[in-house]
Amino acid sequence: MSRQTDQHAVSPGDGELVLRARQGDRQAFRELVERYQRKVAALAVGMLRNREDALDVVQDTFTKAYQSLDRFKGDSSFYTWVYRIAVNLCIDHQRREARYVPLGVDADEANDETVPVTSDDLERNEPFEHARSQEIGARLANAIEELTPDHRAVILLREVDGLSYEEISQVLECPKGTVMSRLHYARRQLQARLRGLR
Amino acid sequence: MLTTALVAVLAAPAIAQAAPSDTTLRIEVTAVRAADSGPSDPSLVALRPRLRRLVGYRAFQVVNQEARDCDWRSEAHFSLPGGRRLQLLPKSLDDDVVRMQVRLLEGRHRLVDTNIRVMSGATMMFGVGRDARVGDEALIILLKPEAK
Amino acid sequence: MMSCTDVAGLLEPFVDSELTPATLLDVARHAGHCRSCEAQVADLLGVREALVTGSERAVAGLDLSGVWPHVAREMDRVDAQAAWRARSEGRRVSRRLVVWGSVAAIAAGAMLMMRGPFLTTGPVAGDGAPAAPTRVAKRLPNSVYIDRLAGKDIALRREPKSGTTMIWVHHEVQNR
Repeated sequence: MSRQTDQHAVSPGDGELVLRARQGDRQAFRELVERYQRKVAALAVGMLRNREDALDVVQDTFTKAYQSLDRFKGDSSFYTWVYRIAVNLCIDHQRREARYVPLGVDADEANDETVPVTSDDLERNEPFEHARSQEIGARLANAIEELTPDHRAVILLREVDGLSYEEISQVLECPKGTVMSRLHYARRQLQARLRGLR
Repeated sequence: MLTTALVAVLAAPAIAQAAPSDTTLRIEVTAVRAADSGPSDPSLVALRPRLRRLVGYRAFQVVNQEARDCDWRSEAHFSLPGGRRLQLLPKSLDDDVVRMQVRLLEGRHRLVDTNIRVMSGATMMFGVGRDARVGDEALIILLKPEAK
Repeated sequence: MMSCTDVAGLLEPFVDSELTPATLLDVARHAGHCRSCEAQVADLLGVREALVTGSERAVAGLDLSGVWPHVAREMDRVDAQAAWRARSEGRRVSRRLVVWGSVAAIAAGAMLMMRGPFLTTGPVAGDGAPAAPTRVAKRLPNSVYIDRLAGKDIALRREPKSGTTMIWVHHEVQNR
């Protein structure tokens, strides 16, 4: 499926919108944001498994895209370029969260953070819990959690965002063969978790 | 003679300082309650990532917000929760940078007394609390001066 | 007709529509007659369905109405920064011109003096103090300079991305 096909006959293509945005047309950039924010949100929620963090990443993604608009060369499509920004922000976010040490805390206590989990938190922070049935959702959530960020990115870009292998390789800046092998590994992990439930 | 010539050629016009009296200074002070869990105020969604990185709490609620025009070289007081207040003395504006003295007071106790230079429109923060790890709440004060 | 061995490595590209039309057809024909390969295809599609459903529910609960307003505000900040940098650059250039112009004038004056006592004095131009050097440092959007800080049990925290500064007072927050 071609993502460059306009949904409406009169809607301008991404290329035209980028050109206009570069020339200061805010409405053009707004249209790009509204065109892709849901897709970026789906990716971010899958990567971070937290809605509020995902929202932060969606906002940061388009802010960064605006700041770097002059550097967008057009050798990839706009949406693969935006996805690349989003994936990198998600990975950075995960690294930062792992490193955060509140001031005044001893180093060996740093990892001992526990957040009380209520059902509201589950609803907000565990979106995959409600997929199809609670048990599938729970197993899927655990399986995704255990994937590395690279494997998580590949499986989400392929299954949720529907990108081709070529497009995924552009987003993640790795060879197509690497995309396929990561996809294969991620699928095996998820299949093993879901086996016996359907 | 040479000295006079040097003075003549080296004397450059002083930087025209934006005369504070010609500009209005609007100061916004927001009191935010930070906690480990719970909902966050939608109006803070833009600041949330920054707040999380700075203080480690996850939920932020606006408790009080006040914005008003303040006079240069005159004290301004903003009330805060818990019997606290922010005492401000805006001093000058230079190249979009606001110079001011800020005191954070709790009753008669001076928690912080500082002289700062902040870019107009930027947000400076004060935090009162223990660590996020202890699970207590914290009070975050957002100070935003804007010269127009 | 393809065998299971031929098809084994092609099932994933098959469900991903990454095969050529001819190969796709061959794999489809085989899977249509082979329970084992058909089950594997069903497995792969099942994982996809679970991921897509989970994602749809997750995104449905997200309020994206605040995204554009936030981005627009950030765009304002970016544009304002760019304008500020351009202004600062302009001032730096004009100051450089003043300095180099002065140097050229001194050199010219020195040359004239060496030729003879023709320099005349006149009133000192203006009474302005020399321009205070302005640091045109690259500032992060929320940079704060602290010239003086007093207090008990305080610490400075800085957020590297935005330059936001926080003065943290280690003090128990009383109940409201």
